[in-house]
Amino acid sequence: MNLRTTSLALTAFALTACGGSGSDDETTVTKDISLDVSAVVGATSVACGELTDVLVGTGNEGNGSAPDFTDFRLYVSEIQVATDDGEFIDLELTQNDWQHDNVALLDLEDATSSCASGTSATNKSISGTLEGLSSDEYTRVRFTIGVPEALNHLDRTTAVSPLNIDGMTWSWAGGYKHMRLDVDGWKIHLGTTGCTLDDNNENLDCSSARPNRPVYTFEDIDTESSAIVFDYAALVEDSDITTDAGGASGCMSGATDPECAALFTNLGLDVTTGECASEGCDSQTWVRVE
Amino acid sequence: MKGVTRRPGFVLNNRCVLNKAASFLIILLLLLSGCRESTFDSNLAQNVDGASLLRLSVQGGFVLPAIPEENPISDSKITLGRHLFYDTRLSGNETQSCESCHEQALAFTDGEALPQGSTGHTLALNSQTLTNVAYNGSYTWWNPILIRMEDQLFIPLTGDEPVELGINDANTQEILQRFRDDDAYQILFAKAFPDDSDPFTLVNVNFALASFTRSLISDRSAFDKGEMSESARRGEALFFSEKMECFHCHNGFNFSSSTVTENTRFPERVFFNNGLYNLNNNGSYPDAIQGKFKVTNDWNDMGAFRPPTLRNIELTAPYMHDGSIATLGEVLDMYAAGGRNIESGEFSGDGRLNPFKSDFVSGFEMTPEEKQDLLNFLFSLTDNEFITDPRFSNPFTSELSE
Repeated sequence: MNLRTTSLALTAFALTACGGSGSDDETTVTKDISLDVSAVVGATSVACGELTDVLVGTGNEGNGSAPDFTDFRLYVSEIQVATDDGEFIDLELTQNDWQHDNVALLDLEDATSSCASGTSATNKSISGTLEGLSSDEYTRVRFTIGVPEALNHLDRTTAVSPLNIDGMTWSWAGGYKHMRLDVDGWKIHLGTTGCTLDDNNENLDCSSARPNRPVYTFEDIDTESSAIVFDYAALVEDSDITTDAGGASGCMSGATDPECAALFTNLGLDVTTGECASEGCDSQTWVRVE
Repeated sequence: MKGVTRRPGFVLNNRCVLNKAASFLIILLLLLSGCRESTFDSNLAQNVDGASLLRLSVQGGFVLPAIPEENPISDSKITLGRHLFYDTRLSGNETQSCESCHEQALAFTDGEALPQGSTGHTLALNSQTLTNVAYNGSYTWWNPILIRMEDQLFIPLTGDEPVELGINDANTQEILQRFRDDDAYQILFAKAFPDDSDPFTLVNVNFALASFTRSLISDRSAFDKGEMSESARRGEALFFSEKMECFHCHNGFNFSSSTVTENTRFPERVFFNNGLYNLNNNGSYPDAIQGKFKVTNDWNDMGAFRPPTLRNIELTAPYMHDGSIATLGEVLDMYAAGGRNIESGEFSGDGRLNPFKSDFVSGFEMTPEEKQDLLNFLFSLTDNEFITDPRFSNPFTSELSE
């Protein structure tokens, strides 16, 4: 990492207020941070049950329809931040029931109402330590939605939290649901598909799979007040969440599922390859940092 | 694999000609046996240490199935699994057990084209037989990467699309508590998992069910015993002929080319399109289930399904992955025609022309006599001892046999 000695960095170090714990190198900063997360439908917070006052998507002759949420959970991983002109450095996640290795489960359902199959516990933040930041003021953040490949095929009978939650496992695909945003009758399950068995015919080989792990980068963020916002209304803006033209009900990452095309475009993903779309994953329209 | 010993004794292959000495010995054994249980004279059958309930018959001549090191099999696990298998308390709303879709009398199927889950979801796939499921090369009808029974079992237990037993993140602890509060289960769980301070976990439920299901070995049919009619023998010859090609997909002792044993080093996990559908004249199968294609997204895998065992096939109607053929006779007619032509309706299309169809489903001429011979051969794979074996029966309605 290319360390830069600037007066800004030194000043920032001096001003570190958010749990800053000092540094071995006077030119870098070590900092504990917590990123808040929220899920919204336009201007309304996501909540279990039918949100009767909000209409989303193209259903109901283009007027949109009210989502009846039954689940809203996703894994995020490989979280990194950077200053304006520095390199991205890893956020070392605090290891706890919600965070293992470099992956965190965000749980925005509370098992009430129509989310009755979920967990009552929720998790709306990501916490960790930044080490080696050249300035206290990071302005860019980057993360992946999904469980990294190295952790995606754990034995679910022995995996630790949060990688041992039945509702987030995805038996048929040999991994996890990277994200499940379900409304009654129309479910979004994003996960890696297309793994095969290796030459020994015994172990999973996902080298040719469709990873379906979008990586999003955000710039010009405010270090102290930033929160990651997932907007369901923007995600399904071009979808009719009341009908299913084929495949799984909604989109469960099927490359040929008619419901997946529009959804993957808004995720910034190429539905055929599962990689970032040709315009880049940041062509996505549904996640913002504010 | 650990913990396995081979008891000395001879294993007969029924397709070999028995020599007189062996025949005499068999007759002697039969004369000496006073009850059905003697079929499993443990001095003659292969056994796994500590798992006497997993038995292979002498006549069948099977080798042991592979048993994963992380879930060693034991009688106490099999016994716990048997209770759980038949207990409706295992479903979220206490309305279904595994038996609801897997009845012993029907070789652990349910007689339905498509079953319903505990909350009313209709499944897209026909309930499969659990006959010899320990030997499956892969699990479920279509998935090429589900190769451990323990991984498959979570689907009926916790699957939510569709819901089967309906265990979910919200009710798991409540369901486990039903067993924790039951005196009999306290003993069963403690015996099955003696090293666990709290044995009441969903993983242990899974491991016990897997152990019981592995013990469901069917190897005492007329075919195994060499008690086939002349017609059935003619049918066997037809089955294994290049004229009818049946054996290409239904090969080996389990009559499924997707079969592995503890000795298998190069497993074959095969999937075939047998020409049931041809939607839009481009080879498509109905959206609900398109076979191995779902995983690979490779059109060559469109409509490709795992060939099921043909053991007990007489008992497992209706047939095919979606239960869309009612009788075994119609199945033979379908293969004779080289696929199925659906002339009208939402699934219309000539499956015989499906571009992804297996080369082995090319059709054949079959006289009425040949058809009957083939049927009689398939009927000779019915194992009446398997479907009445008290080891596999509902422990809540029958006396424990062990």
